[in-house]
Amino acid sequence: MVTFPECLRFFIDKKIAFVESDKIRILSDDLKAEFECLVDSAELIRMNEEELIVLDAEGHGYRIDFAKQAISALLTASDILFHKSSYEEFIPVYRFTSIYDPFENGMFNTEKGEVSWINPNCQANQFVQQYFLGIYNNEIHHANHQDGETVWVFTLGQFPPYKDSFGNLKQVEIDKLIGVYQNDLWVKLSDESFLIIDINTGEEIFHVTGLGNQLGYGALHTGSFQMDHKAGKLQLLAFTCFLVIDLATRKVESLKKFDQDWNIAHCQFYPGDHRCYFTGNQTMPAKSIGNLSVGILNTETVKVEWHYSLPDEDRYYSFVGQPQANDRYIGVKDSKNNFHLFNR
Amino acid sequence: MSIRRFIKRSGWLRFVLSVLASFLLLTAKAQCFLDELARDLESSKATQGFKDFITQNSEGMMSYRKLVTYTQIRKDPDVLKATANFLTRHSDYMIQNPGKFDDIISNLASKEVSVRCNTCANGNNKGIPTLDIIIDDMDWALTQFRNKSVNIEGLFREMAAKGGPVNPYKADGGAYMLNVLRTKAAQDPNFIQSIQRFEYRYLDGSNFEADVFLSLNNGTKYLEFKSYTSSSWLSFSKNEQGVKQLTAYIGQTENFEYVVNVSKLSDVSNPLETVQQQIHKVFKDKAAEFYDLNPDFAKKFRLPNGQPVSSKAQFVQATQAAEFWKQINFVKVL
Repeated sequence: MVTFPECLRFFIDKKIAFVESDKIRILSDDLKAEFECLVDSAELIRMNEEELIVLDAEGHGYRIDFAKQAISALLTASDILFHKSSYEEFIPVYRFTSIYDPFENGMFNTEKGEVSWINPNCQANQFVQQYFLGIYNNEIHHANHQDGETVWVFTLGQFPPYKDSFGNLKQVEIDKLIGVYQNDLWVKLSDESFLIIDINTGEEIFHVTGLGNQLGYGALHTGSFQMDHKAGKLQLLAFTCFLVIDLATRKVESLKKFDQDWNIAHCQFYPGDHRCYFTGNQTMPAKSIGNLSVGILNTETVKVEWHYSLPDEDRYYSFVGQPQANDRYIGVKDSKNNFHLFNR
Repeated sequence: MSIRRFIKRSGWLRFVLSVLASFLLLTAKAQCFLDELARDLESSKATQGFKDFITQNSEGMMSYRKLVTYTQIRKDPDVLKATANFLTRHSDYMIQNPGKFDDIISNLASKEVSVRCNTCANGNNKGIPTLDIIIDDMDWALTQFRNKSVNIEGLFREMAAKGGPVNPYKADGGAYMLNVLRTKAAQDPNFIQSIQRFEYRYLDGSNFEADVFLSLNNGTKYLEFKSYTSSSWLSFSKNEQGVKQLTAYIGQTENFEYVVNVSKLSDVSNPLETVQQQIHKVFKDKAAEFYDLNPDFAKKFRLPNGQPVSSKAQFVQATQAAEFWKQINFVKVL
């Protein structure tokens, strides 16, 4: 294991990049600093073998070219702020001059290096596969990514209030957009139920409720998830168990409890990899309020294949966030901003 | 030394004298308590409830004797009932922890804490329930947690800490927390099962904090009790320890709730808003740090125009907005 101090964020793909408050450092394969670029508190957007795209603290976009070891601004106009996207070719872009001015949402094409369009009516800001969507005021907005015009708006209807994990009554809200399978857009609501919406029309098709009760678990709280399009499954981590939902039948296909008292909610999934990389706890820590272990979970056997734990000595010392991994390394940050890198 | 050896060594006369002396001493003590009781029963101010409880319950006498030092509290029928109940139900605790119950009552009745009772003329602490309810809550807590390793005895031990100007307040903080736990348990049948551990700290004369570690079948949750006065809340953003703790919660877990003692904030017009606004100051100071610690947490907040935060710059800007505090939803006043 190697530890690097003062890490704000990190990114592991073919290369490993880590961010300090004023610069981003790219590591070579032997973990030596290959080169570094001055960027204020960079947020990482995308990395491939040739380049890295980052945003600075203000939201301006930059491209870092690995071969040239050079950084260049994506755009120079100072009133344009980017928003990260997982969709390969595009980054949604915002324009605004002060917080009281309305946004003008738009789209930036990273291939061409230019703004494709700006549309003040657009409320979409993220790609879910090829669909350009957004959650705004308990509505789901679907917009055309070529011009930002609204395709449909889904408004969440009246749901009975639910009890949160502290027993407080809360109104149901749209929590996360999970993914699209065939024509079904899966949406997670704050009451831990799932709504299925027709991606073409924005009509509600089905409401998956009472998962916890169905399984005899009382309330079920979920953490990380992955939609496996090939297998037609939705995999969910729910602290003490691993859940697989069949996307075609919309029913729970399997539920396995973690052995050895593992408690895992946050895991980094990679498409095509049946392992996921988690932070969690094996037993309830006596001192720490966070996750003391980092590890590898095999999602087929639902067994923890490897883990490393911090000492349970300090209330405020634990791993934070999700680990990332490539073929050689697993990296994770701790609450003292140390970046831990493990050989697999 | 055995009695036989004592008699042998000191002679018969000395033995008889010592026995007589002990008997006289005991009688004097009992006589003293019975005199007080007779006086209270004859007093024109004695309520019917008090008279009924004392004359119709054998435990009434026991309770009265336990509280005899406190001239007003000992006449309150509700406190007497609660005490009788506690003493009968928890005789094992009383034997294993001699003097602790008495010390807790003494701290609560101290001039610093000034607990109220339904018929007491003095007692003005509106931050905690009346004494009969506190004793009921202690009875409830001991019943619920005695056989669980959550350290309830430790909490009672803290509440009983004696001496110094600040120790009585530990009983105040404990009384508040027990009442909130009981209220929560009444609302949610799974609540008791979920409690794993108490941690409890007093900070200074009028402030205390405690954490309750909850564990359900889906993870660990933290209730952070803050029984702070308004002046402590008004300087919260400068409270290094408090800010460090909030920062740690934001960075390390999404499952935490601040439970704030509303009764300590009777001097402000809107307690919830006051606390939210003070926590907002911390967000203003540390927005960039909070974003870096937990971007997912930061992205749950909105800009003044309703758009969700999607970058560090936006989170910093969102926290500068005057009404940002309305979005701070992990605070509950009870």
